[in-house]
Amino acid sequence: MKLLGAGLALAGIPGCNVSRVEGILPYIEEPREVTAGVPRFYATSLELDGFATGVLVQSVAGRPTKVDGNPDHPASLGASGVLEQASVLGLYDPSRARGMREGKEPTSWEAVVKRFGGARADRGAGLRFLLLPQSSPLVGDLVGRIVARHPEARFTFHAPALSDAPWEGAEMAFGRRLSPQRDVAAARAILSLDADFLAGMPFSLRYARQFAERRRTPSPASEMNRLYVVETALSPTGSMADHRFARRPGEVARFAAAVVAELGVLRAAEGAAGAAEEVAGGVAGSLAGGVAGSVPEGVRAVLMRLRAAEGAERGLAQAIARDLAAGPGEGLVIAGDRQRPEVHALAHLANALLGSRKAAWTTESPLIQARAAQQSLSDLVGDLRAGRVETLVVIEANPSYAGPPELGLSEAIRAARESIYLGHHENETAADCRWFVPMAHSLESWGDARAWDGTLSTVQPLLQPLFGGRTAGELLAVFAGEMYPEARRLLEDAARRRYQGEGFGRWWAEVLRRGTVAGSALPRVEAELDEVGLVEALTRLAVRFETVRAARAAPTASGDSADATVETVTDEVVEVAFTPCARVHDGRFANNAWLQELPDPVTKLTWDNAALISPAMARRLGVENEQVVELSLGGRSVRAPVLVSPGHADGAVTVHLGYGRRGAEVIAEGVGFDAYPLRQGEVAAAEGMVIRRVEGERHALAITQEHWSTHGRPIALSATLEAYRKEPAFTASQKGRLPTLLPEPRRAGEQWAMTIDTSICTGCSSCVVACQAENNVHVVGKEQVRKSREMHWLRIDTYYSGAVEAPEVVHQPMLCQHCEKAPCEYVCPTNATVHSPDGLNEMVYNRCVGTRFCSNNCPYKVRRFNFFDYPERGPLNDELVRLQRNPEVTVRERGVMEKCTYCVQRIRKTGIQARVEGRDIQPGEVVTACQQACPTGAIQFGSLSHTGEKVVTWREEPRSYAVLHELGTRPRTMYLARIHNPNPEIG
Amino acid sequence: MAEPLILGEPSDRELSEQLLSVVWRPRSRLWLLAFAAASAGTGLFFLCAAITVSTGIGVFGNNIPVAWAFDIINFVWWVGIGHAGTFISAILLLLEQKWRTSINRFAEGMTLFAVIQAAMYPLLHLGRPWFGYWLVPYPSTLDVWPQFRSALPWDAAAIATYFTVSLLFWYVGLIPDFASLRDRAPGKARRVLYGIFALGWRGSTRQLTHYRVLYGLLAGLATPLVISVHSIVSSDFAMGLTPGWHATIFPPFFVAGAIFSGFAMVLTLLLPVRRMFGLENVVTQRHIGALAKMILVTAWIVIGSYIIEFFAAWYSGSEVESYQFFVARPTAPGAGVFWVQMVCNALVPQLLWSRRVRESGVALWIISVLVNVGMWAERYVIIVLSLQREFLPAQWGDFSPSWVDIGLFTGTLGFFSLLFLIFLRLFPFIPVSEVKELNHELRKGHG
Repeated sequence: MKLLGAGLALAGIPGCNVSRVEGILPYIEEPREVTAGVPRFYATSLELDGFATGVLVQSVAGRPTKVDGNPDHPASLGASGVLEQASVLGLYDPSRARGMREGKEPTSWEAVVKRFGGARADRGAGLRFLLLPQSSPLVGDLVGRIVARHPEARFTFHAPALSDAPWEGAEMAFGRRLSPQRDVAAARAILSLDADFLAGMPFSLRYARQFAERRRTPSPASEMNRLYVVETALSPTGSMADHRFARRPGEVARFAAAVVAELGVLRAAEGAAGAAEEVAGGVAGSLAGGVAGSVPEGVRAVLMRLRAAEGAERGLAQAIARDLAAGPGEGLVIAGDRQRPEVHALAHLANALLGSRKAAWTTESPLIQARAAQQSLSDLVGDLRAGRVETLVVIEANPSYAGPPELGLSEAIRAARESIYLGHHENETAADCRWFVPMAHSLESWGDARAWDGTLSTVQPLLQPLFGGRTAGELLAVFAGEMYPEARRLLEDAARRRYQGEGFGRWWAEVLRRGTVAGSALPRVEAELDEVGLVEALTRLAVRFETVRAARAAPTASGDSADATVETVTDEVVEVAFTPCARVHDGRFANNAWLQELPDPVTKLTWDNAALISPAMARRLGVENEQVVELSLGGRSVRAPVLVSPGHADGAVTVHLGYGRRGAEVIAEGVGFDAYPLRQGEVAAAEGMVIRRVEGERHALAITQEHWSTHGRPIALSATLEAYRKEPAFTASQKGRLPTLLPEPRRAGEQWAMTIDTSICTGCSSCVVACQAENNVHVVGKEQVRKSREMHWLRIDTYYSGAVEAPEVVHQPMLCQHCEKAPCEYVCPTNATVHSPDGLNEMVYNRCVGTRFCSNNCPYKVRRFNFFDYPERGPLNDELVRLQRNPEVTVRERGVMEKCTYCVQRIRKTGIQARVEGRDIQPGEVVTACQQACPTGAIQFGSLSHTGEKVVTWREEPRSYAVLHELGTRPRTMYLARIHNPNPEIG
Repeated sequence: MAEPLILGEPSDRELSEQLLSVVWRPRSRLWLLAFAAASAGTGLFFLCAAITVSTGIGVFGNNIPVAWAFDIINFVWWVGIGHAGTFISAILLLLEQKWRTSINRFAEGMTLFAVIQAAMYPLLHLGRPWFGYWLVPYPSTLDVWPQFRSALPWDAAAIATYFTVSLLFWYVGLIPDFASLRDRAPGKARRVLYGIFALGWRGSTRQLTHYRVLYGLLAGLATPLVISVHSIVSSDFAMGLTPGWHATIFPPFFVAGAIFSGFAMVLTLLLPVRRMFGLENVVTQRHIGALAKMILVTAWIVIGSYIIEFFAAWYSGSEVESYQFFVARPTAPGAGVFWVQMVCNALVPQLLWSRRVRESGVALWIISVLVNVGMWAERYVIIVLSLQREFLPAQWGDFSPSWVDIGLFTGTLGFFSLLFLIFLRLFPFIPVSEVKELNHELRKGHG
């Protein structure tokens, strides 16, 4: 505790706390815990829509500089996603709100406490709270205390990107709002029903790690899992699929029903076989081997009805069902947030039928409930409009921007007699609220939160709030009657109250140190299938299918048939899928320059969102990328540029939410279009949208990759498992020694190298942001990205092969290959890029005059040039953002070339440490930033002399290869070919 | 059968009067107009250069993968143009080609001014131009030398050498004419000035003997330079792995292309000047015809190189090379430039087979301009089109120039013209003494 306190006290010293200290103070007395130049790491957690991911934050002289995963935390396992990686930049966001206000007048926290902390005559009847979903026990406590003090107060939890469907689905299946839990590593065959479980769901980092465990094939004889994905737009998960089926959002339910119905048939057959031996019962009793759960008769009947209603894809459904059921308890079905609750119920049913107790189970939801005091968003709006709301408290949520359009939240909030907003930015909602209090960033806050599985973790600050921000807990405590709420004390008191037994102090210090409370995951709930609910839900589904089927006598507008004559039309009726963006989520990260500049993992689009459509639809509409279309639904319409997306389902449009922000955030301003107005309620997909070409209007898009085919070049290799077994050496021509006349290069010490397994690279791009954070990589902005001047040292090249309707995908993280015979080195006129004895291709910025010959001669095109003095150009790299800089990495000036260094600062630091201790660098001691972040562990780094390490053993696998081997550059970075595992039953 | 090199039978006096008077004849309106336009262009150049140096080369259209574009295209183009002068002066001198005499000074001037334009680009295009001197081998306290495996320090050295030798050669050639100017110039100031430059030339036999030796030596020195400069420039590309660059044909190919464009530029400038100053008697159809024939010859060397390039791409069996030559160049973005190159460099010069075309000033002038357009296009194709389509398709990109790119190019055209116009006014651009000498020789031959 002392340690942390000192960390806090220190935070003010180097000039971070702008209100107190100007200028520099010398370290006359160094704080005990701090050695100048030695970074410290603190465990904390970041919350997204209620679910925590544990992180370790690096702090240098009181400045948090880098966020990485906490290996002890179940939602991270040491990995981190793009949002976690970019969170540190959010702390230094130049548009963060810097002061409290009432109306337009500056005010103080004391005034806020005085105004809102008092007793209320109306028992809180006019008091309303609107929060993001919360799992924090501290917030739960405070909600309880507020309700005790103001019994009539009401709470609304709302996040536009968090669907309620999983819990509604559980309610149908089990009669209870349970959270589905999965162990993907326990599954041999996985069916994803529109679920981007490898990159786009709470707990994805864990799922990705587990998936990779069963995916990797260390030798041709290895077994690997098989992934079926049915989805609309290509997602990172879809790009990993062995079989991917592009379907409109509304078709997924039918697909799911077909598979589950076949599973039912399969189990019935096994049951019948079993019953011949055992005593036959009224319901299909114990199924084969007693693994699978029992299926209520009513459910079986409705499954048969579903099967009858759906017949088009029976062969396919049968094959998938057989495969899922092939291993005992090794099949797993995952439903995605975008799907309606019935699909989630089907997934629960399927997992029950598969008996996958190890792969799928349920727990209580970790989200806090206000029980009787909870209110839905529409009820809240009703109260607001009726003038029943005296005081509205909005915390972090941004309903004025992202609320359901038909509720008219902006207007409703203005109708509240008094409103107070606690938020990071003066955003859309802030503009509608009278009072504004800047919110403390997670890295400035004390608090707690639960992960998806319920594991409790702590949130602890690394520095004092830069702009006097307050936490949600502190503001809630004001309403609970505290005069001087202080987040740390609130948290500690709440924890002390819950703690039983002796030695709270020591226990608490250990919790803070580790960041998590061991063994606090929620227990498994053994839920029985609820026959009534399931039958009801599935019957609804069956009725709908039957109606649709009857109506489908005439072909619909969406042309399913590939050979339909292509005739250009100006508009078309389609389905629409709304999806939170992988980069800005629901819009709250729109002011984060790293995220805006991060190429979308699939489309490689930066600084924008777009209407994603299939190539076939683009042909029909006669549109291409950047052409503007008008999307109209339910009387509202928006205009959006088209982005033709290979593998997108035909007859559907996918739009990413979170753009077109209208707040005071300067970086987010004017980026993309706002898709929320199209959305009715909380729906994630809808039918009947009209897409219409807008003649002559174009919107420029900044896309970092424009060519998607390898042109048959041996760059991104892949093979099926079967082919790999038949011919393990299929990459042999792409590695090995090439004859040379030149002398061997001088070598000394460790020989650094990297190996990347493309089999388990999902393209999620967290490595890209990790590299940016670690290496002070500049952000250049949309115009510069359009001129292909983005600065990322590590990019992910994505190659498609096969038909554009159903492409096979290989993601290839591409970074400096550290060629042993580097073509960049011999063309540099000033010796600015040279080779180190330990195998690094080094860039000497000071010596670079900027001829760019090295870049021209780099066949991998991984070198990036500072065309301008980027830090001097606007807010993207300047001001506050400078506080994030890694002091161990040079900030490059205008006119010099730069590129991946294999994180040389980490290598040298470890080397120095080893030398001081008189030893060699140990295996696994040097970890690069990209390697550290990678959720699946696809990137391995180390010395070639550490023979037991993955970096070495992997490159000895038969499927390893060097990109552009034929050039004789001898890259130190090797790749492992992607192995697919298609089902031989499916053609 | 050869046409005469000097028309009529002018006396020495007449020749001196005619050829030296260009220096003190009053400025014509046309000249003033051209001078104003050239000054404006020069201003544009320095404006764009200032913007580039103060802001960064991001003001160019260059990007990754197209890290070189207008900067290097223009550099190579100007250097190429700068080849004709020394070729005419030195190589033709050694080969005792009499027709060089009337046009050599003119071509040398053009060379110097073109090399000045060329030399500015490598400096301007640097990320940090203020460290450009690091390319020069000097005993630095940093104890770091340039990297001699790279073509670029050699490039800097070759161009510097070429410029120095060309300047000396030009100046030495001018000495007897400076003496004539000193003797005939109206006004004392000019006489003193020209007298200083004349270095005490009296035209004595002794002086002439030494002079001949020096001039011959310089010609011998300049001759290999004509070959080496563009060979080294070509290795900026040929050393690279980039498909479209990686070819051993480049040095001779580039030298031929350079002479091709240089001769075309000589014609572009000479034809109007000859008309304006009424020099048809000393710059005769024989000169013009010889230049035209040289263009045709070098055109065929260039065409041969094209054929070899394409053949090598196919013969290499490399998909990457084949794609570059057979798909990217004819069809990728910017392919129009490739077709311009082919038409202007391969087809247009074929018109020179016709004697009538060679005798038509207008036709020749248009052809010479088109050849230079074609040669600019060729450098665009080699540099930009190659870089646009390299090894990894994921990193293919396109290029479009910025206004600064275009401004710098037009600016150098203006600056070049400005220097040239000044040259026309300050020096006798037809070497008077040499023409007189030739005149005597020819008469003797007749007699």
